[in-house]
Amino acid sequence: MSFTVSILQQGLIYGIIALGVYISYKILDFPDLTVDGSFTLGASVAAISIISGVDPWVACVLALTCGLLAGIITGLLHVYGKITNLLCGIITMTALYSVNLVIMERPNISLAGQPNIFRSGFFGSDAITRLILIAIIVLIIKLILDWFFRTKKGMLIRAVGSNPQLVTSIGGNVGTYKIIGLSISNGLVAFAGSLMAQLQNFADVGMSSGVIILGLISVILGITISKGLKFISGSTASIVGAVIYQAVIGTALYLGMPTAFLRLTMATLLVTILLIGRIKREDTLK
Amino acid sequence: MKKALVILVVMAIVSAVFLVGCENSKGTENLRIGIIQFAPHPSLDNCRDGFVNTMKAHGFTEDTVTYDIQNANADMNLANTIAQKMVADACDLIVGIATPAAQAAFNAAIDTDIPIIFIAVSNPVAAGLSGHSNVTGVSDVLQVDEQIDLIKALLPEAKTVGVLFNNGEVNSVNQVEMLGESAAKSGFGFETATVANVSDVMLALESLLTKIDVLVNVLDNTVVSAMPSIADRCAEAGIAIIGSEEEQVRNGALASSGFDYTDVGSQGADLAKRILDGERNINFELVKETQVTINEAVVQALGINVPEELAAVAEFVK
Repeated sequence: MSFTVSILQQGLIYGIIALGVYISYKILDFPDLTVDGSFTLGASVAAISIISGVDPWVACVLALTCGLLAGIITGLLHVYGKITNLLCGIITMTALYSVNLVIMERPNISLAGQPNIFRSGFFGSDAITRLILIAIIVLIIKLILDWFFRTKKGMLIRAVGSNPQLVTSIGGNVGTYKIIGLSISNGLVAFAGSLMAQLQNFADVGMSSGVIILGLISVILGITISKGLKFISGSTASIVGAVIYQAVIGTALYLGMPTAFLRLTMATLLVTILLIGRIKREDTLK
Repeated sequence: MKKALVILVVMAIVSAVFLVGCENSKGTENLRIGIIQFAPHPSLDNCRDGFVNTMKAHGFTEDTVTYDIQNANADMNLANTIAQKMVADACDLIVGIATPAAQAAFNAAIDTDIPIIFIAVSNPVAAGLSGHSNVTGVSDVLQVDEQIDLIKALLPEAKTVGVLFNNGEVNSVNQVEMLGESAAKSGFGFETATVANVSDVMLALESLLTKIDVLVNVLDNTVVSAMPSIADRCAEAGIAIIGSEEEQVRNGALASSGFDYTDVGSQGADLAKRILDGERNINFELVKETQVTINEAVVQALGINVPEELAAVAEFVK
């Protein structure tokens, strides 16, 4: 039972990463590698703020803000620097590694015994309460995003990826909306980093290893699975995808699979799901 | 409404899978010891083997103990998941090898009274692992003073000490700080160059070579991985290397004052035995056994004179 709770806690935080990746990869059609840096950015900003005595909730907001800035930098490089999207992400991600080291002053900060949104006493501190708190946070983020992408600005950001001519034709600036989208995406990922640092009680400069893969797999997993289920929005699908991702890893560990095979398992799962999705599509076309 | 329903159903299925999994893994009378190794790495492998072998020598054989040995492959998120699984399995003891694995184990067990043993954590205080009743371990803090003493004995002409390290590894940063203090105390100049991964090592080394008389290694995973090429380049430049463990001396370092990681693991096993016998509130320990090792071939190549009192205690390798 407690393992299920842990899986859900971690899975839902990954859900926030997946939401961020969903915005860049799916909505903006922009494979953004910045997230590998902004996840740790969020964790390091939150960690250094908390040990300097900043309220943990404020620390989360600071992390979110720094993530927004990171996304803006990638966006500016792409839109005004005319650098290809993949390269922009790589540049910002690489730079963020140094930035994170400078922010933290050392590669690893322990938060053991520090105030923490999960242990503030206000919400209680057992595992179930922590899970409920994370679920509420994820739900709020999802609802805000769903609302935002139905506003006029949100609609235009959605059009950037699928139909940029439309944006230009009604007098919008594709570049500006791209930057806003990337900014939101990285803000979310940094926010997830700040939650993760508090959940695991430490921030480490190497903690983003695999985050972009995790985000992409979650989004593709979620969207492929929920295809045909029209009432599931892309945001929900991404969160569900992240939880499934974590559940698969948890199950594999439970079944005693050597950890060296975990990535292979994920790759196999992804290929299987993509192929099933494709076969289904071909069937309906016939 | 429908959406919420679907989410609930998915969550229910996921939970059901795990509950079934939980039942299967229970039901044995054996003690259960979980070991999380942070990454595949020769030194960490030695810690693990030293731990398990000494545990068996203490009578905790596989007949009475189930060892759950997992490698996180340097993925911190995975280290967390592994630690959570071990806590859910109600392990009687969890061992974390290297700082992030130890922190993951500590954090996963924070609401329980499962004892945690850390191995190969160079600064347990900074890692938040000291001062908890159920946490103890072995700190592999490098004997930097002994390294500096080796330089004084073997290279009396040396004035400036250089060190290469990955500033993303918390263990290395701690050791370099200590090494710098120790070098300053003995009147040496101190130069550093940092790398982020193995491919940076050679360039960083070039930037150091002209400024230093001797290169000192700390226990840095990145730099140690590139040891064979570092040794080649330093031999060309006529710069001696003082290593941080015996293996580096075999790979071309002049000498080291260090320890065998098998002994570190085995010291952890001694702590584990005390804990399983019911003892608590044990302070963490520093590595006990250190040994000076000298490479004869390098001594000859650099024309170094080994003082007799050092030669008497040192172990020579070729």
